[in-house]
Amino acid sequence: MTTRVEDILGLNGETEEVFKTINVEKPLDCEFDIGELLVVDPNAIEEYKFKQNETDYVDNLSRDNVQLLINELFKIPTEVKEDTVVFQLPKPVTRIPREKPCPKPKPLTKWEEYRKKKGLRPAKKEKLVWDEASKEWKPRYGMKRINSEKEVWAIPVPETADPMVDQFKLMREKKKERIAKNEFQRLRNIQRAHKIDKFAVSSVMPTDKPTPELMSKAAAVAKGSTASLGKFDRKLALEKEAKIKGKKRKFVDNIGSISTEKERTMKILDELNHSRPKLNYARVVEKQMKKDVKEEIRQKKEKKRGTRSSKKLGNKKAAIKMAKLNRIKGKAKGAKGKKRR
Amino acid sequence: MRPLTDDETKAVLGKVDKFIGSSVKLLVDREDGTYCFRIQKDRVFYISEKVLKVACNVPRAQLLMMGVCFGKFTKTGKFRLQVTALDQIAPYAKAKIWLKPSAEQQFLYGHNVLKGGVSRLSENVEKYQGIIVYNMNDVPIGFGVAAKSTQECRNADPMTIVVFHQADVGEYLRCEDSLL
Repeated sequence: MTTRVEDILGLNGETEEVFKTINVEKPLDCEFDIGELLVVDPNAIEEYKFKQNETDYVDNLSRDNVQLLINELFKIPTEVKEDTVVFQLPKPVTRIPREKPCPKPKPLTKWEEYRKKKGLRPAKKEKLVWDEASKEWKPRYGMKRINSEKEVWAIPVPETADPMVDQFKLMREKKKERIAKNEFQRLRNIQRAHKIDKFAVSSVMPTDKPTPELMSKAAAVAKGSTASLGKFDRKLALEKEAKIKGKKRKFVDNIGSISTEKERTMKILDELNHSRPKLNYARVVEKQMKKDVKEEIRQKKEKKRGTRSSKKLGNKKAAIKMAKLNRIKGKAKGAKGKKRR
Repeated sequence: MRPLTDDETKAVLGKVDKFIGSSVKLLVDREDGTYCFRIQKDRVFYISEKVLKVACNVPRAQLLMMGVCFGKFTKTGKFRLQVTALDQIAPYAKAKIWLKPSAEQQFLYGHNVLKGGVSRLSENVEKYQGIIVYNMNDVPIGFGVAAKSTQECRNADPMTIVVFHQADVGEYLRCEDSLL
């Protein structure tokens, strides 16, 4: 009993028919991008074949194209790594559009905006600065920096200052103030970047002397500050339902004073007029275009006049004729004059 | 029925301003009586003080319309002009277009105006300006938005759209039930 591979696979001498050739021929060569494992088939679909049997046609076509891809793949030198054959794919050629939109430029801070407007360039500052007092190079910012408040061991009291005021404390306070100012500016820049008109002001602001009324209001606000507006919050035994009333819309009286209403409308109209651009660019461009066209036509006409020699000649002829006529007339006049005399 | 808020007034006047420019003032400040805008169920009405006082006696739920309906606010808060405003706007129109008789019907069926159907076009019309459409007998038959400026129109081919249709008199028949 000898079993052949073909028998097991169920292919008795049909190998040649079952396994198609690895050589695929196409009228137009396919384009490859091996890096992306991509084949682009520029050949047109043969419609009569396609209509005969759609699935077969598509299957065959894709088989051929995959075969071409595999052929192309095996042209790449292979390596054996950990008992497996490995390709190193080349870099992809096809440029695929990026998934996310391009990042927007960071909004400028107020200072940066000013600097840009003025055309100022930041002065180049070295990281290390020479400290005369300690004869050492010290960092400009950060730990153990130059002019550090921590290293100041004596402060001369200014003559005008109160001698009893602690100058060290004053210095510390000043530094705190500077930090606070910087923080404030940072927040303001963020606010500007997000185009928030005003700082968000809560209806309940922290105070030094809270009243019971204010506290209950704050509690109500806090209760309503969950995703469900406090609907699923656990309640205390005797707790009342916190009600925060929204602002009621208010409209102007229907038949109050119509003259004030007219004033209001006129004010809005004025705003509309102000917002209208003074210079209408489209119209200016249009006018200029008209002017240009006219100018062009005029120039063309002039050019024509210049080149037409026959007309010039005609003019010359006419001029000669006129001169002759004048001469004759002159003679006649002269004769007449003589006669009169 | 209530007066318009500032934002609503801005929306309404801004829209009318596109058609008649600074002549909006003449609509608000009239010599023959005081006129004002009122809003009732999203519709904006242009109404004289006299009629307004009479209309106040009708309950809000029952009040269907009064004065002249200028248009209505959409759910997103934009204002749309309606044909009914045409008679008020047309006398002050800044940009006008006259249609050939053949194109008139097309326009009255709600189509845009093509260059081929234009018989005359007033000068200095800007792109996207509001424009009033007339027929050859000088009767206003609707309005729209200029798709091209006058200068661009001259060089356009006959099949290009010159005016985007917004409203036409045909709507009195076509949209009888929704127009009011």
